[in-house]
This record gives sequence, structure tokens and C-alpha cells, in this order.
Amino acid sequence: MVRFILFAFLMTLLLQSAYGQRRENDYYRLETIVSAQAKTHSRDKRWRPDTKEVVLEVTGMTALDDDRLAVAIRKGEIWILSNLGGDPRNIEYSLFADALHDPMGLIYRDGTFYTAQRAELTAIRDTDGDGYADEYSNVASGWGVTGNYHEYTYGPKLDQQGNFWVTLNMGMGEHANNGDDLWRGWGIKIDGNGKLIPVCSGMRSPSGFGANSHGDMFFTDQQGNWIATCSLHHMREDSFFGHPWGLRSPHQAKLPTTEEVESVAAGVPWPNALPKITNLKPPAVWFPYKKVGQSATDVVLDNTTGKFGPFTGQLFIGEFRLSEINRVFLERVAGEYQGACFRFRSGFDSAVVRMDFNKDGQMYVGLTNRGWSSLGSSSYGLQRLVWTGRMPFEIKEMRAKPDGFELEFTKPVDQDTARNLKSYRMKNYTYLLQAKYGSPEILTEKNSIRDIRVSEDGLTVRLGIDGLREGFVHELNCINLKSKDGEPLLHPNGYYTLNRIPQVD
Amino acid sequence: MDSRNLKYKRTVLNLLLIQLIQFPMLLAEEVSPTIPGMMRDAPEEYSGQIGNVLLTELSCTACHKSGNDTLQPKGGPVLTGILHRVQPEWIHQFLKNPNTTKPGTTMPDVLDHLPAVQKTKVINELLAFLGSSKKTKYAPIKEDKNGDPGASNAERGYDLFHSVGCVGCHDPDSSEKFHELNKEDFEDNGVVGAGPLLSEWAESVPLPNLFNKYSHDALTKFLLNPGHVRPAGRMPSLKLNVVEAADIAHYLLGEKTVVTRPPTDAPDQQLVAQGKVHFVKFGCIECHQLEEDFSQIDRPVYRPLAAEMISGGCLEINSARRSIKYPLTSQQQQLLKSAISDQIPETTEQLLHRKLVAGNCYACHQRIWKNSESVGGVGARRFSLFETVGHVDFGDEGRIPPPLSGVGAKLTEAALTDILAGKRDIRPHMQARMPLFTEQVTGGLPTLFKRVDSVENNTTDLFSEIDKKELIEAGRQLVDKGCVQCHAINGKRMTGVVGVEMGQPGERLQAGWFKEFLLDPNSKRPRTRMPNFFPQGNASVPQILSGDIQQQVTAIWTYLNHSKTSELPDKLLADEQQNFELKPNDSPIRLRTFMQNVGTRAMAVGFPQRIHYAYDLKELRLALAWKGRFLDAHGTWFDRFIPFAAPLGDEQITLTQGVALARPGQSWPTKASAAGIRYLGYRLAKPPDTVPTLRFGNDQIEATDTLLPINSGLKRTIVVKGETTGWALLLATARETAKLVGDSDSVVIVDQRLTVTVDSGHLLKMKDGQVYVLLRPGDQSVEVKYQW
Repeated sequence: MVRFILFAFLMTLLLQSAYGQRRENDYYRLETIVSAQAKTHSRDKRWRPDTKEVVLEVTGMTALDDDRLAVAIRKGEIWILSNLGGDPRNIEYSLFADALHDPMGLIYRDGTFYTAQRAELTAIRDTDGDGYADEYSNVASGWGVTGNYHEYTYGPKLDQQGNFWVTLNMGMGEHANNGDDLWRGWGIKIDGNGKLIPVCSGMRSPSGFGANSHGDMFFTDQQGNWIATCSLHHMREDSFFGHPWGLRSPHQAKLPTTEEVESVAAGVPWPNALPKITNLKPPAVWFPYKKVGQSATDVVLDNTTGKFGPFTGQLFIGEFRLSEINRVFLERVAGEYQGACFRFRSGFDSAVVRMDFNKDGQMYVGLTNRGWSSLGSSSYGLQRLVWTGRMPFEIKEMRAKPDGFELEFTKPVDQDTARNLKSYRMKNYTYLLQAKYGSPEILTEKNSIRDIRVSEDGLTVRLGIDGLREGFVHELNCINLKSKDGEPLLHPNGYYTLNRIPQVD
Repeated sequence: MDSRNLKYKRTVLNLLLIQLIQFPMLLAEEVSPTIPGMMRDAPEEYSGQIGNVLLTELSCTACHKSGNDTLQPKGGPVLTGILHRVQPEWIHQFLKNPNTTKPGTTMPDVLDHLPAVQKTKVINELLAFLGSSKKTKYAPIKEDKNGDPGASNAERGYDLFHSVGCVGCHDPDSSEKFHELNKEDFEDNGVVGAGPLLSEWAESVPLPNLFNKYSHDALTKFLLNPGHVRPAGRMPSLKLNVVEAADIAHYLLGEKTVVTRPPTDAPDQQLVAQGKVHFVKFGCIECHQLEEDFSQIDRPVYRPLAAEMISGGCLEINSARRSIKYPLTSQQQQLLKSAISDQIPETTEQLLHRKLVAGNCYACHQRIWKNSESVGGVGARRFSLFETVGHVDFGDEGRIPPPLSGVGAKLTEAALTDILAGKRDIRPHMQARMPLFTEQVTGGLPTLFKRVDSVENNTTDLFSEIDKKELIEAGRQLVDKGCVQCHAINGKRMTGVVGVEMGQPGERLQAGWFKEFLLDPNSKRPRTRMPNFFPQGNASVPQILSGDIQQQVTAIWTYLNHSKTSELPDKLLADEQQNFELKPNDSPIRLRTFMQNVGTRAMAVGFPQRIHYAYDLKELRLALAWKGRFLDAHGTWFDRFIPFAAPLGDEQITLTQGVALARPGQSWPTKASAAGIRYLGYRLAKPPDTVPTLRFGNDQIEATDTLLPINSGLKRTIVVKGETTGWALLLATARETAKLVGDSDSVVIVDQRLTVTVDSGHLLKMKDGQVYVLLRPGDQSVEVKYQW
């Protein structure tokens, strides 16, 4: 009887797996390389992770040219994984480095690995060629570390000029604010001599960052006190992003005073806060809470020149709690970046913390959720996302125009549904800048779609829209739109952060 | 005008009213009765009969009886033994001018109509009478298992006052600033959207001059159990232990040693007799309990509450005819008049709202009513005064008392009753405590919540056709996938987890609510951190119970309700069995960690020889050495809150307090930056030795430092290259003594415990407890032995 029920379960499992994820899987196939408590073992409820198993809680990851993958894990080790292409049971693990203090990133350059530990940026080399690192060098240090758990140091990543960058989490709670929190809440550039160049502040929990195709650096922040919802910011000089604790550091930048920011502690809508606070910069993209993630992490540029599908030049954003990856399109309007975010792929086994592309344009996705929690069946792991070659029907780009938005799709739209006003809905809202944890969407208004122009090739749709408001997120829902071959959009929503309405087309 | 705009206008009106109230306070003049809950902006639908609050809070119905059972008067404190508790001078002052002596008091001036001389005489007679009440013997607060209240501490009291919930109703210390709400800010900044913030305005209950009123002992006793002398219970118990109460009293009173002593002289019996008559005649007896026999005195007869009373009597503000004085605001007068004249029966919603106003539940709790209008909450002004234990970031829901929205459909009536009776605290992470109110405040609330909030298909259990054993096992696996990462089950929690206890939810939660919450957490708590484990209605773990979300929720519910007798989820089991002790069996082990007495940039190195050391890489200080067991990496590798590591072994010894390489000056530098050197990194010997050699220095000088175990200690080799002249190496720091052995300049015994031996090429020097060697010109190697 039990066997029959089990069989019935398995059958229904095959038939009823989540529809949305299966559709996503048709275009972007998710492959599990390592998953904690892999299902094959977990039948036995007494099963425990082998003490010799590498607890692959990924916090740093870099794909090497020779098809190997280097992974930094929370235990403070760097492992090099090879033989990743085939059966996961054949993967070879090699310990490269250990005794690192919460490494939160990993890159490889000129024969050297670089990782940010809590208190230093470290270069790690294997000088005798035995595959085990024997030289750990202090590249840069000097930022505050009080002993508070929340004071992670993320990075490094490289900008166009070859500078290292790290971002410094604010402390929260015990030990925090005890005086030694220098440069916490800042994005720091590190030059060739290891000199710290604090660039911009106002961060709370900048757990992921990376360069776009122009080498400009972007970081994600996470909803919390002073941070209305998760966001993507362009790191540049004299920029303040909203969280005031970092202003305590003795900086030379043109930033507001703590008092200036505290004056809006009770809450002021973001568009109204902008002129009140010196060099307060809105995010290039807001990620509306739970609509597009609720805890943004890594930022990775699609530099695969099409091997990963149609989104070359765009950014992928990791998502912790919901175990997803989201997607960002950016453009420059009046000299500043702004753009739209879209859901991209859900259903990872655990919190998505790090991503990196291999040379074949496959994305490695590093997972760990310990200490917080996430959707998915594992507490850590390594997965791979592969474009199947099938073209998903997606809003590829959402561009702001003086009178509305221009949508570019990944494949031609169905002319009838595309010309129908009822295929689109739009509303816009903003957030409060406030000391409180997060913000609701406020001042919501509906936009009406005035007119629609569809290009002959069916790839672009120009929407004339009434009631555009600067400083507001414009949420588009193309609920009834179909592609020429009759598919609905894989993800029908786009969320454009309209900091500026362009003056010219 | 849309409703939000209207709401804003009302709020501004409220603000102006508050200012009108507060302004006279500065002049120590009349302050209208403070009933903070009344200032909360609430929709007409619920607040329509809010004037009834005044009938109870001002105790109108103590004299003017009402047929409406819900209009029980608040009444005043029990006066038995009052002079054991409160200074007579303060009572005298209070009776003379109630609302200036205790701003905002709800006690009327019953002697207002008397000429000044006579008033004083009556007060003296009343005091004589109160002093003659000997029914309660005063017992000073005693030491108990929590400690000695006599050793109270004002700083601790300050912290408690500002954390456990006192500031929910009372003003914080002036240095703990409120977030100021600035009306102009809102007008400048899109009032419509920011309006709700203003409606969160929360007025404070003013405190009288406590120093004049209470002794430390008396205030401590009051704080321990306010309901004992104030059965009305508007001031709740914050579940303080005796030391906490004494600490808060100490903070509120400052350094005060005066003990309240009732008059010891035999009272003048004539005065006492007169006072007793006054007590009845002036109506004190209607509100205050006092254990005396009043049967021989005629009690005045008051008119029952009736519509025609709205003119004349107590409400006659400016008439010589009035007998007692309530300094009501014009708004309060109007509300009171319409409550008396209309006497419209309240709806259940209105009654519930009124009870929440009277108890000032809204001070801490927000409630979103069915029509989605929000009332109450700690508000923008106070929200920074609420914190989590250990200031752990847990979102606002971790530090702000939970909302009461739909609570009647969430909690079982039994749980609500328990919570209001001070039981079932499930939020140990929250500093604020759910206070314990008296029956007068909480009576009937569970039933009212249930009646107002009850929803269709309210169910107390979830059922499934699936075999219960299987259901429980499926639930166990589902709980393991998600819940345990944030929640405790029957007190068992993964390391660092601080979320709400989840064991036996059926004793607390209604099953229907649990199911809806799990399927869409946001629908019950907007913007909660709790993720949706069923995104878009799909199971995130499709392989369990075929991904049937209804069955999955039922399984979770069933497992949790059987969790006391079922196996723990795997992750909790594993966590219980995790062992992170580092044992350097074959090779040395290094650990970079936060470490006690070493710092936030520590490197600990453990050797198979069971001798270990820790180096502070920030200040380049050889900090500690010890023998035996090495370290537990649990805090570093596993615990979210990374407690500082500490040596597991014994024979721990502090080696140096200062930078390893420095130019000796007035005092030995303790900061690497002051010594002008920096940490450069380390090299590792080939496996299996893997002994680290630390590197530090600057452009002119560079040193390497290697430690290896030897018999009963460590051997340290420091190699220095470059411009060594003028530089020195710190080898040990004595806390008490450092004595050279015999005539030698190469062996020293530090603190009678540690023997430090330097090679024959260098001479030990000592200054201010620092043991060091000066470097010769040129490259050199220094060898040191530590034995203890």
C-alpha cells in the first residue's frame, strides 16, 4: 500500500511540477552540481552530511579558463572543482586555500586569487605549484571591524581601470557602533598600492556588486532600516544612497551631514527627499518588494555574447530569500543610469549568493542560506543555469521615452494583441526614505495607455502613456500580450525606475 | 475631499489640540485629563461613541450610575495604607491642585468650590483620616533570588525604562529624542502619502513629580505590582523582578534615600472623624477603596446618568454652582456631552475600540480594522525606542509589538486570555514586554476580538485523508526545509536562530489563520520578512506530498502540533550533534577569527603537540598561548552571530601587550600604525607541516615571525632585514613581575610563571613591564623560547 502511494506520489510529481518553473526550465535549464542533502541520500532520515563532504556554502566563485571552477565557502576555504561537465559524482575537489575569515568574493588574475576577508583584501598564491596555496598577502586593510556579525566585507571585483573594489556592510547590533566602524556603509576603491579610496556611502547591506559593460560599478542594497526596498545603485564619487550611519566616517566627499538625513527619519517620499539631502542619489533600479526579490545579492554582467541567450549586456541579480535570479536593463538618461528590472529564473535549491559565467556562457550559481532562510530544499549548493537555445518570449528592454515607454521584445509580438490597449496596465508608486525598516509603496497612481505603435518587425512596441512621474517606479503588466507564435510572456511585468523622463526621443 | 485628506486634516487638528494641552503645562496650570488612546486617529465607524471613554476614564459613572454594564468607572487607587506609600506633603498638594500636581490626572478637584482656608482645613482633616487607616502594615521590599533591591542601579533602571516598554506610554529621557514630526515637512513633502505617519502620533502619559511623591522603597513596590493599589490597571505591570523595579525606581527618583514614614503621633481623633465625614461627603468613597466602616455616615445621593445632565453640575465649567472641577478641553466636553445626551448603543466594534483606547493598547499595538483603516502603533515618534535583544537585525517585526489586526481570527480565545494574563511570551527576541493588565482592562477582550474578527470557515484544526504518521513525517521534512531556519520548536533552535516559537501552534493559533498565513504571509503581515514558501500558489518543495499545497500546510500544522512526541527536523538534529572542535591531529591548524583578548583580526594556530598560540594581525601582537585543547570553530564557521572564539585548553598565558616590532620610546606602541609597520601576510611551509611564517614591516625594515612547539612551550624565530638600527622586538609583557635569572641577561621569569629565554646574541631589556631586545645593525635572526 505504502509503495503504491509512493508510486502515485512520484507520478503526480512528474505531472504536477510547478508550471511556472517548468516553463522557465524550457528556456533556462537548471542543473544541480552539488546540493546539500541531495535527494538520493535523504530517503534515510538518519542521513547526515559526510564530515568529509565539502560544505559548499558559496560566497565567492570564479570560473577558470580551463573549465575548472574556484569556489570560496563560508568556512573560510577555497576549493577548486574540476570535471564539472559530466556526472556530478565525478567532480574532483581540491582544497586550494584555508583559514580565511568569511571570504565574501573571489576573483582570479595573473595567477593569483583575491578574496575579501572581514578585515583585509588578500592575495593568495601557490608559489611551489603543488596545488595548495602557500602565500597569503595583505593587499589592503584598514576599515573598521568591531566584531559584529553583520560587518561583512564583500568583494573584490575589478573596474575598468583595474582597481579592486570592496563594499562594507553596516554592523547591526552587538559590538556595532563601538567606534571602530570606519568606512562601514561605504564602497571602497583600492589602487595598485593598496591605498583605500572611499568613493561613496549610504549603504546598508551591499552584498553584491559588479561592473556593467562600460566598467561602471553597481551594487545592490537590501531592504532594512533606511532602505525602502532592495535597490541597484551606481557607485560613483560624491554619492549618498540613503543609509546615514556611514557618514560618521571622516570622509572628504561632498555628502550630507548625519543631521541632514536624520531630519527625514520619520519618513519623506523619495522624490521629495532628493532636493533636501546633499547628493542623495536615487537607485538606478528599485526592486519592488517580493515582486522582484526581497533580498538582492550578486551583480553579474551577461558578457557571453549570446551564448546565454538574448540578454547580452544586461545585469543578472541574485536573490537570497526567494532563491531566484532577476534581470536588469539599464540606460543612461540625462547622464545618469536608470532602468527596469524583470523576474528571470526561480526555483534554485537555496539562496542565490554568487553567480559567474564560464567560457561556454553557462552560469554557475552558488548557494547558501545559513543564518537566514530561503526557499528551496537545500541549505547550500552549486547549480548551473544553461540556455537551452529556445528563445523565451520576454520584455528584453524597457526604455523610457518623453511620452511613455518603448518595449523591445526577444521575439516578434502578435500584432493584434500588441495593438490592444487592454494588453497593458501600468501604475506608478514611490517609497519613503525613513529610518524605519523598509517602506510600503506609496502615492500609487494608475497610468493610462494613450496609444500604441508596433514596429513592422514586431520586435518593438512604443507605448504612449499619460501621467508619467519622475522619481516613481512604473510597473508595467503586459498581461494579455502574445508573441507572434502565440506564447504569453514568460514574465509579463517590467518595473522601470523613472528617475528622469528623457527630454528627447 | 477624499478620505485620506480628511484624515490628515483631522490629524492636524489633533496636533493643534495637543499643543493647546501642552502649552499650559509649561505654566504649571491646568492640564486636561490625559487619555492618550483618545488622541489616536480612528475612523468614525469605530470612534463614533468614543465619548463613552470619558464616562469611564473620568469615573463619571462612579457617582452617576448607568444601566450600561460596559460603562464601569475606572475609579482611583486603593487608599488603604496610602500614607505608607505616598508622602503626605504630596497628597496635600495633590488635593489642593490635582491637575497641576499630577498633570493630566483624571481625578477631579472635588474641593474646588471651597474657599482657600476651608479647603486647607478639609485637606488636613482628610489626611488625618487617611493616616489613621492602619489596616495595612508596611513591609519593606526584600531581597529575593533576583538580587537585593537595596543595591539598585540608576543606569540599569534607565536602560530598563527605555527598553521594556515604559516609553510606550511615558516620555523617554530628554536625551533619547523622539523622532520629531514636523508638520511643515509633511506639507512640503507630499502630505497625502505621508499622512498615515502623522496619524501614528502617540501622546505620552505625563508623570508627576515622583521625587516628591514616593520613596524608593514605595515606588519599587508600586512598580512590582501596580494593580495591587490601582485595580483600574491603566498602569500595567511590566513583569519586573524586584531588582528591575528597584532599578527603575532609582532611575526615576535619582539618588533618594528618604523613606516614607507615616505619622507616628497619635492622630487627633476629632480631625480623623471630620476627615471620615469629608471622605464620604466629597465623594472620595465613590472612587477609592478604603477598608473602613462608613455605615454611620449618610452618603450623598447622585442622579443616575441621564440626558438632561449635560447642563449644570460637573460640566458647568464657569459657574459658581459647580461642585467639582474637571478641566476638560472643549473637545472632551463636547464628546462627553454627546455621550451623555445621545446614549446610542455601541456596536461591538465600537466597544472593542473603546476598550483598546481606555487600556491604551494602541500605544504599542497597531490594529488595521476591517475597512483597512489603521489605528495606533508605536508611531514614527517612538519607533526608535523599541529594540531587539542584543540589537540583532530582525526587521521591525522583531522589535515592534505585533499588530492586533484580525487577532481574533488569529489566536485562539484561550491563548488570547493567557496572553492578557501575562502568559505565553513567544517573542524572547523583543526587548519590550507584553505587560500584565488587570481584569478591569482586559476583561471581555478575548470575546470581543473573537466576535469582531471572526471569519467564515474558522477552523481549529486541519484534516487530511492521509495517514497521520505519514503526514507527520512529511510535515517534519517540510519544517526542516524552511521553518527551522528562523523558528524554534519547543525551545530547540538552530544556532543563532531568534524567530517566534513554533511548537504546538494549535494551542495558540487558529488553524484557518495558520493556513492562510503560510500560503500568503503578506496578506496577514504586510512586508513581513517571512518568505512565501508557496510562491504563486506553487509548492517550493514539490517532491513532498506531490506538491499539493493544501496537504503540505496540513502536514506542517499536524507535525508542529505533534512535535513534542515526534522526531526533530534533520537540521535541528544535525545542529545538536554538530561538533566544530578543531583538533590538530596531524598538522597544524590555522583559524582566522574574532577572538577574545586577541581582537577582530586574530589568527590562532594549533599544533598536534597540544601547544597553541594566537596572533593579533591588526596590531601585530603575539597575544596568547595555551596548552591542551585548541579551539571550537562553531562560532566562526556556523553561528550567524559569530561570538568571539576563546581557547578551549588551559594554562593560558598572555605573551605580549604591544606591537612586536617597534622603536622603543616613552611607552611601547600598542598600535601597529603608531609603530609604523603593517601586516604583510604570511607564508606557509609545505604540507604536512603547514607552519605559518608571518610577515610585517615597512619600506625600510621587514620581519618574519615563526612559532613552533617545543617541550613545555614555544620556540619563536624572528628574522629581521633592512634598516634595523633603533628597532626592537617585544618578547613578553609582565603584568606584575619580570625577574632576570641569576646574572644572565638572556633569561627572565615573567609573573612568576613564564620563562623567556633569548639567544646568546641578544640582551634582554626591561621597561615598564615590557621585555624586549634591541636589534643590532644589519640583518639578523632572534630566537626566543617561551616555557610555562
